[in-house]
Amino acid sequence: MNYDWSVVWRNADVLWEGTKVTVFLAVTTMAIAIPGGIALALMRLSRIRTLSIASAVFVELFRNLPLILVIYSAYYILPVATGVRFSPIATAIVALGLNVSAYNGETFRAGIASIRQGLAFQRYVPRFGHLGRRSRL
Amino acid sequence: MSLDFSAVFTSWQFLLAGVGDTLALSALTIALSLVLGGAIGLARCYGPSGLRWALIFYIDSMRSIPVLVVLVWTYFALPIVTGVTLPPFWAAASALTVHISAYVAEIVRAGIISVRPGQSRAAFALGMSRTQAIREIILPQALVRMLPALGSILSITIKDTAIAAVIAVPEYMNRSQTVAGQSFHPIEVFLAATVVYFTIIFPVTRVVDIVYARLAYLGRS
Repeated sequence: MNYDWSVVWRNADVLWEGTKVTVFLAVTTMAIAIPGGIALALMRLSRIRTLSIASAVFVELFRNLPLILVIYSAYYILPVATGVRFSPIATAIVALGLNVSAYNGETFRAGIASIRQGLAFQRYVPRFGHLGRRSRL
Repeated sequence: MSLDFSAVFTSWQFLLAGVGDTLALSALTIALSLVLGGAIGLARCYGPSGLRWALIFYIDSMRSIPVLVVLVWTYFALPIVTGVTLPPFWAAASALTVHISAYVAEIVRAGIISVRPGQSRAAFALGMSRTQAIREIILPQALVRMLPALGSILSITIKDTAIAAVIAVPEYMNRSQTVAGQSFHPIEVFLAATVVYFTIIFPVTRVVDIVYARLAYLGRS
């Protein structure tokens, strides 16, 4: 059979716009989800039970829901919940941000947990304060 | 704002049939992907080098293409190229299998190379053949170590079946969209879908975690 690739070239500008949106979404989502994931991981490992449970519930919820369902829900629920009509892109960023944050949270938690216990004991070295130890080790 | 779940309750039979389709599609995809992905993973580790390069190309391209693209391609482009038209359910099952198998193959490979090389050297020193070393020493440990990752693949597969809604497979997500559109109560319908998906997937991941916690010692060496 004959292929007609000209359709791709004729619409190259539209497809290029789409490519830019893809890259923009990926970068924005990661810009939100990396700090979000770190925050979730630290909350999960916190000694304050409320924080730890809240983080666990958030992570388990978004790890166990199809992304497409989160996007649809965000599209319908966000305007009702906030009274503001979001653009489709903003909706996608919110949904992707929630989903990827949850996954990143688990990744960071595994990363922190894989550091040997002995390193954590260094917190007893006086110089390291409570917050200083996690960020430095 | 008040919620009115009557749309969900009046269409419950329609939606429940969708849950059945979601489960059937998930089970079929998981079974096929485990077999195919397992074979690919083994061939990727132990196969002849020509085959190995072909499989690396397959795995890496599947990991770099969104599953939605594979799905749309299977459903819309495959009939034009080959003349074979698959019904939506089977198009979705094959697209998901082709996609998930690549991930399963990577998990199998990671499990196999996580067993220290000293283990197979010791096996050879005891006079075992390569096949024996793989079957008796490496795979038993590797299989246990793969469990957590395979558990994630189970939940990812069930979630990915929701994407099949795009090519009109009448699974749960697709039927939820229909009910939401007809009833003008999208929030309630999708909230119900949230609860249903969570109650399907959460126990699956929990059970795998519990099983792994029981068996983890078998994978240590």
